[in-house]
Amino acid sequence: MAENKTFGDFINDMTSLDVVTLTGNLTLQVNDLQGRETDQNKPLRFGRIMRQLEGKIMKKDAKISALAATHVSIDRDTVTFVKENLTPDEAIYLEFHNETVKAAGVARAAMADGIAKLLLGSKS
Amino acid sequence: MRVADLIDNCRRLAELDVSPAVVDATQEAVTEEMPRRYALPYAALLPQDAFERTGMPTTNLRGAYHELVQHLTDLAYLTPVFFAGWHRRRQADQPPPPTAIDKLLAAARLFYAEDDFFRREGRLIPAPPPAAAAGRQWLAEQLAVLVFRSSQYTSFDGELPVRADYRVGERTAFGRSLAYRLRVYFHDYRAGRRTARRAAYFDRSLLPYLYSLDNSLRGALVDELPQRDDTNLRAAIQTVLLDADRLLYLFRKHNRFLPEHRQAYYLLYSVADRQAFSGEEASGRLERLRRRAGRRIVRGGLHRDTGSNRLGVRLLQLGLWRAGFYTGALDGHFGPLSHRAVLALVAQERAAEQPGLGRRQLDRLVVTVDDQVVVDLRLLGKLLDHYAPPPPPAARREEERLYEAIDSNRDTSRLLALDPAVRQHYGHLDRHPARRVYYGLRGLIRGAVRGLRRVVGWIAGTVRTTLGAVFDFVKASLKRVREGITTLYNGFRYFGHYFLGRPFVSVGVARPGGAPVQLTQFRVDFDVINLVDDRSTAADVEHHLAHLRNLQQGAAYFLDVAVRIIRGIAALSTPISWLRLAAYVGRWVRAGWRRLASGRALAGVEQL
Repeated sequence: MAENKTFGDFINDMTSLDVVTLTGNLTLQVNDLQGRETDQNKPLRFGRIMRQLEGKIMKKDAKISALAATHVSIDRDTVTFVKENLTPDEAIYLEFHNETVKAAGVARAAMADGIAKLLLGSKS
Repeated sequence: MRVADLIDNCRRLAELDVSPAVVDATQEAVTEEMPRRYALPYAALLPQDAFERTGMPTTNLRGAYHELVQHLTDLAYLTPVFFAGWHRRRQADQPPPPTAIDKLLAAARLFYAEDDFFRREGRLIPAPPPAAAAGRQWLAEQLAVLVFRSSQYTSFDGELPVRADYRVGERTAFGRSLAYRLRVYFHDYRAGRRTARRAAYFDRSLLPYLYSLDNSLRGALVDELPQRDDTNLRAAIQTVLLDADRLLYLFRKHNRFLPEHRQAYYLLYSVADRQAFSGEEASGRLERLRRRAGRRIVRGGLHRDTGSNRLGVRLLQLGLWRAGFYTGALDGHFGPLSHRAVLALVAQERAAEQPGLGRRQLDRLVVTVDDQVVVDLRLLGKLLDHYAPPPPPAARREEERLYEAIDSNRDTSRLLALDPAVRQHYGHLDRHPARRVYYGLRGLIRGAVRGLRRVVGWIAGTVRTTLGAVFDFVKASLKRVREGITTLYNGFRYFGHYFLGRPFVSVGVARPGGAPVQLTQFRVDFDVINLVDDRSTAADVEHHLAHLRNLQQGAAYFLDVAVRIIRGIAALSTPISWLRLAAYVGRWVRAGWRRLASGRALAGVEQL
């Protein structure tokens, strides 16, 4: 985790959920990722992916832009900001964004449950 | 990193300290230190990759695949020919061919479909995806739980509870398990009569074997046998088939050779090369025992072979196999391997701290006269009682004792690197093709505890024999490592994604210039960040979403496992070795599985 946050800070943030979708040129060299031949079934080298991605994102001329951002507050009010004039490809990415908003709800339940267990121990 | 540091980090995580130092150190311990210590790579590896020599030790992973293949063969999902081929390639350090992996995957898919354990609690383990490549990945990821569950179906330790609703002929893993047991007790291995045809499921065609079983038990089950119109199998019959100790007890009771019976009961057989087994010191007492045995051999000439006796011999072989001494086929033929197993058992008991029999009784147990051998079955049965798997609480206490004795003597971590000393028992498939290794964990621990001195001596380098206790110890340790640690890896992957902010990354189809990347990061404050390559196609995005959905299927279960293990490690207070840590983790995991297998929800970690 990059930030030096305590769990207390996180819990304060937990009342809302923000989903941000960014797009840009993240294309990576597959051969390097998989270490060996370009066999789709080989496991990916996670560390290499992250290093490549970080390298791309940190570049001065990196063109990373926000496509959509959704804010869901605890009372379930949802606000979504979407980039103007979406291309057909970007419309697909917006669908993806909306799907991950749903997935975030599942992830939130899993994380809240896990945090409760870590905090309290399982009483089930 | 030391175990103590990991315990400390888990304690801090359990107190919700997710500062970078704690997170990074825990991540390193689980993803880098443990794979080295336990010869189990963090990434789920397909069988062919597990065989590749890439610098990463994968011994235990190969062992896990081997065990799965053995269990699925026993349950007739795979054929003995397939098992032999797999075994030979493993022996030669060659990866299995792609066709073999596909067959193994097909067998695992069918097993998954025939056992409702996997779908408990709203799909405990995600279903195998239909696509071949994704299916292979699923096989690699769910290996530990597939091995655990299939090992319950082939266990003779009463691990599998009886099923009141079982119907004869149903096409389930349970039906296969019952058919397997009848094969063990009745399959004819004699040359020329061996048949590749096996009834996969227990159906009405196998009912006559139950009558044979009852005959061998002298009518003990006569009131429980299925009648013409019965569709269910009564609990008493199921219990006898699922629990070999119960069956052996009934056999001994009705053939009158329990310890309280005074009647003599002997097994008489020939060994071709007696010299190979000699080593007994000559003494007046042994000479007298031999003369007495000689008289019994003369009387034995009047003995007639019956089917009952052959079942008895199989039960003895089964007992010796479960105790870690016998490595041959359970064929009812008492040959050199069986003879060697009896001798090894007696030798171990002579060195035991608390022998199951007195020294003079051990002398009487097996006596050779020329090329004839007389085994006192009453004494052998009594000895094997000491090797019967104890109930789980006693097994836990015994395991503690085992590790305490070993830890105080030597650093046991090095044992995990390899098990070359026991490797010989995996070989020689040509000599006894129906050979199996018994994997019942409680029995293995019991055997290792009985031969504690031998185990400690082996670690210290003064004992070379690997049958029995040493074999049991290595098997029990490795089995624990495989089950517990691979499940921890799975759980930790979820923990990493949902708690430690490790992103889900998928790479789309490669095209000139590279491959587009999709990335989703769930952060612990519930925020989500998506990064989508602007060259990603709809198919790439869908692939990424499928990846997310697939992982979410098992998220609740595996996250639960990881949290429980982290809390469990955090609760450890005394200094322990890596080996012992794996044993604890394995125990927590197994206790959770056992609860789920018996239809209960997971309990608190303190009970795990």
